[in-house]
Amino acid sequence: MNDIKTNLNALEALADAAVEVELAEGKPTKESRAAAARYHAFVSDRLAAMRRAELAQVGEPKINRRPIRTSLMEMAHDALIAEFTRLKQLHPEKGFAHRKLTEITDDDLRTMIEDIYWSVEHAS
Amino acid sequence: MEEIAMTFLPSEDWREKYEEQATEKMLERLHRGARARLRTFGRGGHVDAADIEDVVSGVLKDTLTGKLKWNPEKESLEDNLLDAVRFRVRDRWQRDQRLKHDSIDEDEQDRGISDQAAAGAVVPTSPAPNERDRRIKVAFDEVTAALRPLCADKPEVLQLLGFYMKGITDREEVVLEGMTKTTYHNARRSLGRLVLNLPARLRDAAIAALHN
Repeated sequence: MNDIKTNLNALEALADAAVEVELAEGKPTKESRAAAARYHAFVSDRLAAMRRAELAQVGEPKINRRPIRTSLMEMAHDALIAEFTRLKQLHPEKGFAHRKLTEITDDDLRTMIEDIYWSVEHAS
Repeated sequence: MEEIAMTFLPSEDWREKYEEQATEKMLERLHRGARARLRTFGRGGHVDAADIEDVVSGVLKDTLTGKLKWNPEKESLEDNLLDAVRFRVRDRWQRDQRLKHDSIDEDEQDRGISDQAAAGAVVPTSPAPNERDRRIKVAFDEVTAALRPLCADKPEVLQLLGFYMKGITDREEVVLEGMTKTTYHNARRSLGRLVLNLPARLRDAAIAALHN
């Protein structure tokens, strides 16, 4: 090893020792805390940008609207509730989330029931 | 901090680990680590806050653009970034010395050539003395000269400094020279404290040698 490399390595060894002591015994300062907040904001922005880029790659989800069968369209509110309750008892494994059926519109009830029919028909 | 183009898109797992480890607490330690390192190498007689942020934000940017690799399975983000700071400071310092060397060489060479050409002499082709190497030696000599008296009553610290001056800087090599691991650990820590606490006057004198 030449003298210059020896000197440079020795300077680096001294710097290594200083850094180790700073990390073990040093205390945060107002300046170091403020800098850390700036670094953190930069990292957060960058990671958020990555998430957005990933979502953009995946693209918008494709939703195919299915028509609601005529038999459901003809049902009134009480009949829809009865059908939903029947399906719920028949297929407890589906894990129905809705409880307050009085707060759901008839159209939403028809969509829910249509979705249940579809999932039962396509379960294999 | 500057805007950067989005081309590097690591896995969600990698990003989660990065986010989990890049806490303000860790980044604050990284800042102090960079500050301590820059102080030892010195730039311009004092450590400018902008220089510290330049180094730290540079390594953060490099990991987040994929220029600098980080494998979360192999090492912590803090260790990876501290290592990156280490190399960056060293490279930066060497580059600075090279730039100074080049400008001095050019000035000296230009002056020499014009003087000799004016005198009708054949223009020499030999290079100017290696100014960069001289600066490294001066910096090293000044730092060790400042440290030596502070180690006078600490023989094991003086011994470790002596090893460093001989190019023996790895722990294993120092142990092979006969120093126990515990003594090495304590001496290194003492040496680190001395470097950190070098009186500004002495540190600046050592650093000034780099720029005169």
